[in-house]
Amino acid sequence: MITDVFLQSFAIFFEQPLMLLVAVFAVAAGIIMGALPGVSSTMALAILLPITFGLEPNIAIMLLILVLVSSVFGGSISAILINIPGTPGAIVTQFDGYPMAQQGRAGQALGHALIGSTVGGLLGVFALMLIAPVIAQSAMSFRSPEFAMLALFGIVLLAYTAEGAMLAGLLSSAIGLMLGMVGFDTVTGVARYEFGTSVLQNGIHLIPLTIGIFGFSEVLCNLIDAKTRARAQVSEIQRIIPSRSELLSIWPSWLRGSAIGTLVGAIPAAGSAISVAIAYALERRFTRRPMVGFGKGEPRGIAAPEAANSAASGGTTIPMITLGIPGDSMTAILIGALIIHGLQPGPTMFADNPEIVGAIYGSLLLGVVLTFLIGLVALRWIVQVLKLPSNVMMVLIALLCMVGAYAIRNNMVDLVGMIIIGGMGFMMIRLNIPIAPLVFGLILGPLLEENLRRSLMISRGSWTVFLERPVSLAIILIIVLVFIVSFVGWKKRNKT
Amino acid sequence: MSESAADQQKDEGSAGYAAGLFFLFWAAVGWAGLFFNTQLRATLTHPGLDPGPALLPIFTSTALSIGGVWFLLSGLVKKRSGIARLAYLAIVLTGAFFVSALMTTVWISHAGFIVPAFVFGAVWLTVLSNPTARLRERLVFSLIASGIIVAGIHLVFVTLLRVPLP
Repeated sequence: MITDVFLQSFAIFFEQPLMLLVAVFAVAAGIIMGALPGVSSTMALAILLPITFGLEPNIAIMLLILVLVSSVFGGSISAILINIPGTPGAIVTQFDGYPMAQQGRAGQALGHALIGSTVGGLLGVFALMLIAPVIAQSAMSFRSPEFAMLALFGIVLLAYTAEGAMLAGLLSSAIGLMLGMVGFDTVTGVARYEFGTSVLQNGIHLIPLTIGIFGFSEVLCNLIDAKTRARAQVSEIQRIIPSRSELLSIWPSWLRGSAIGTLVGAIPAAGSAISVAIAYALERRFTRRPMVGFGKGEPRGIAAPEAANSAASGGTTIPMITLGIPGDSMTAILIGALIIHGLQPGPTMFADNPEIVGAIYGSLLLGVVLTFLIGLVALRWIVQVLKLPSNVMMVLIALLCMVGAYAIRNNMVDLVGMIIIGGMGFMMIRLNIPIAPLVFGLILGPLLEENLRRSLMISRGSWTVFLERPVSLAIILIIVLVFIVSFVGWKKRNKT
Repeated sequence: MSESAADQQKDEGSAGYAAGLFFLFWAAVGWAGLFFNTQLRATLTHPGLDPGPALLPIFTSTALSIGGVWFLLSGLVKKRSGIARLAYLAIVLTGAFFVSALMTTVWISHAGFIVPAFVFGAVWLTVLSNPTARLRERLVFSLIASGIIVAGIHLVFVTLLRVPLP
């Protein structure tokens, strides 16, 4: 059945030329935004999200995924050409990409990134199509205690990977949970955290908060760069496709990178930054005869991390569509988009909304293919955006954030809230408090609270209900393990 | 490395007592939201199986209180503020941008989107432009760029997506 809707989702684009044109624009926009330093994939999704409000849910999610997939590759462009990664996943690409560009091989470096990204993306999608239905099927037997612990597991794991600051990440999630509770409780109708004001009774909407945290706060952080950054000197691009012999010797790197990206990406919160770091480290370890040498312009140092980076896009959607847990901050925004359209990601989505699952598969695949084609044809022109003054970008993004926050409910309160939350996000960044867990807390909060309360009602107030069910108990043990690992790591860091 | 440079490096990486104060502020908000809300407090003593809507606020406020105290004390003991240092210019720019964005929203609610957004864009494009260029050139560029940005946003959101911008 999923295969049918998967093919139908493709048909939407090919039956309607306008949709295909929109898809091409979405991919081009994703590549450009990913390439721009200071505009991460998450930020690109956050500011483009409002554009999808009026669309059908499957079209909306497809366009967002097209932007996501293409921006992942876009991040490597600035990493290779100006030594500034456009996205966190492209950090490793600059190690060998930039030296290649300095050696006059910028085009080939981009070619390795493009092909590696395409191979990784394709393998990631196929892995998603194979693994996701199996996990979703298993998760169908989950009940309230499992879902409550799963939500808690997501919050803990997402905090654990928050730049080595687990406790700060957990507390950031707690603030997200609190913000998610503003407004009326859906079960009892009791108002919470509205402090007697009607403004807060409708609650804090996920989208203005997401735009504020991932969009406006980044603008505030990048302001000083916009003032001082010199216009980039972009290397000339000649031949993009690497030689046949190079391609033939590199394919194991694509496979290794893709496997790592899919596996690591599928772990909630692990995301692309970790997968590219592992892919690069393993590539150095396994390559016996490097062509040039790692760190000096080695093509394998681009191919494997880029494959891992793209494969992780497929991987991170696995926990999203099967369990309703965001794989990273980008999938957190996708979950937000689904929620806006009245859809709840999770195991039941396979049965209730197969067209959405098909749309996710289809758009991931289409995104990879279109990114490759557009990259091949238009890369020489796309790189010119790196010459765009950063002050123009900052002002444009700030205004897009404002319009986007307003557009969700045509409400000025959301606009003001977005700016205040953006300021709070900026403050958190300056205080070394991770911001992404706040959004994860807001997303997973309702799932946690609803199932926690339902479990306790079923068990007549007994907390042992979470220990009596094997899956719930297993999740609790994993949570405990994460705490122990984090504590041991903290002790070690303190000793050194 | 000098002592002040070492201190600065120490503050760059991880949260310190400033983060503790930030978390304690949110803990205070959490407790205030619970204690000043009689309806919510009443649910704590309600008979019935539902643990009630006050359960999670208690958990989050407790976590923020304990975590906040931990960061505050450990930061004070280690003399680590955890505030990533910013140049004076950066603080002024950020503060001014934040306040002007808030003022623009107020202006938008009275005068509609186009004019306030254009002025906001033009002003900030000028402020953030390359100071080595001549002011007249910067101004002309800012006015043109701001006009294009606002027109583009209007075209996409109002004309194509039919968002009723004020």
